[in-house]
Amino acid sequence: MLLRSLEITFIGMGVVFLVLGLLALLLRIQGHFFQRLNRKKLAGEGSSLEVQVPVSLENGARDQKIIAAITAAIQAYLAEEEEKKEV
Amino acid sequence: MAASIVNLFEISGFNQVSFEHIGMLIISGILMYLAIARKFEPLLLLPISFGVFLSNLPGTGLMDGPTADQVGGLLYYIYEGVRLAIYPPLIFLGIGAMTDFSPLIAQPSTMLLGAAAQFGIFTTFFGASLMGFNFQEAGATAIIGGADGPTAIFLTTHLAPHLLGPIAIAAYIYIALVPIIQPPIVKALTTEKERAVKMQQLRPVSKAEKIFFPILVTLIVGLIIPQAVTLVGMLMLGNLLRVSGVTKRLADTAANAFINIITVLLMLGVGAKFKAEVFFDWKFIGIVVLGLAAFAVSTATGVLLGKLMYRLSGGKINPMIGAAGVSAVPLAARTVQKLGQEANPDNHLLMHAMAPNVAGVIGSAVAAGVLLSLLG
Repeated sequence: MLLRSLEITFIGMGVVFLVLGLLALLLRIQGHFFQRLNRKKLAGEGSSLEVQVPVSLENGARDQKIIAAITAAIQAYLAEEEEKKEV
Repeated sequence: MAASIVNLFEISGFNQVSFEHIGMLIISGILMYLAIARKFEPLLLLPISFGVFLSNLPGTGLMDGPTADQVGGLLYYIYEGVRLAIYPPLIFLGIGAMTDFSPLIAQPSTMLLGAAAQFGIFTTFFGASLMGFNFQEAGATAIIGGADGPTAIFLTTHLAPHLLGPIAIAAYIYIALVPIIQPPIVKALTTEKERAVKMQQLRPVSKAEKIFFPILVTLIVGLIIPQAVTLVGMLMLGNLLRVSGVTKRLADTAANAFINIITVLLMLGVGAKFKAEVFFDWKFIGIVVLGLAAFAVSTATGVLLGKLMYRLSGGKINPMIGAAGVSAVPLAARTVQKLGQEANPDNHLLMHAMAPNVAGVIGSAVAAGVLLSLLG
């Protein structure tokens, strides 16, 4: 009886690890497959890289313009304050 | 007239009441107190306790089977759903419709934590066999370590139906006590530095992956352990209803009204089977002690594998999430989240802990299937 219960304990735990380990492996493969598929799909829809790079550059250019406008506004404000002090 | 009064008295409960009935009525009162005043899993414990109360009222015949000229009692028919193991898989259908498996799909390695946390089931099986339980009783008792009520009920109805009441009650009480039982074990096995580990944000999971997941799990489990597919198949059907996006009404019903109705029937049926001869048997004490041991070992082995993964990943995995490998969803994950925030207030481990937590649901169902295959 002792041997049989030990046998069930080891087999049971082994099978649980086997099933869940196999599932983990298949999920990992599935994850890689779908991530690659998504990237290909994006590239196929007008090339995500080709689209994303100009968009990000455009954003960068726009950001530069905004920063420049804010800087100019601050400088104008500071100059105005200086003028008030001088008066 | 006097004869009628005597006759009425003879069929009344007062004439049939015994000390065993009184004992069980007191126990049902204690269980109701735990459910209502202490809020120990009230959704489950309240109908269980009322089932105990109803079935132990003398002379009601609620648990009597049908005879040639009379139909059976109501609880008898409700219990048939338990005896035939119909309710637990239906509960799993609802759980599947409620569960988001995305954290597990995004982090498949945590599936192993769900497997490690089933270790308590098998060590307790071994311990129970040594204590004099026969194999079927030992298997049914050990499944408490999986911390999954429907799985415990499912396996017990197949292996040791006479122990159904004590095992179901012990399982649900330990599930309710997760926030009390787990923290000392987790703290004993981990350092402050390990508990404070912040994990990287999980990647987004596409709809296609979510749809493939239930089909893949059912296929693999069904091929390796056909006995586990009753529970796992229903769990995955519920999940497919949820993630497919084309059966919203069915998923909503399964996750709400349906699971609530089945819960009332299942718990009432379990409570109805709880009789004095079972409760006042030494095996009940054994079940309570072994159940706690199973639960503690499952938590500990989950954390220990978590520590191994912490080392192997170069400190990227918080070992505490291994404790959530027991399938008490979402209590175990919430406990891990709380412990993580105690160690580091900026630590948000809930979603990371949900991954082994839902893996634990699959793991305990697989463990039940293995025990059923080997002992049934």
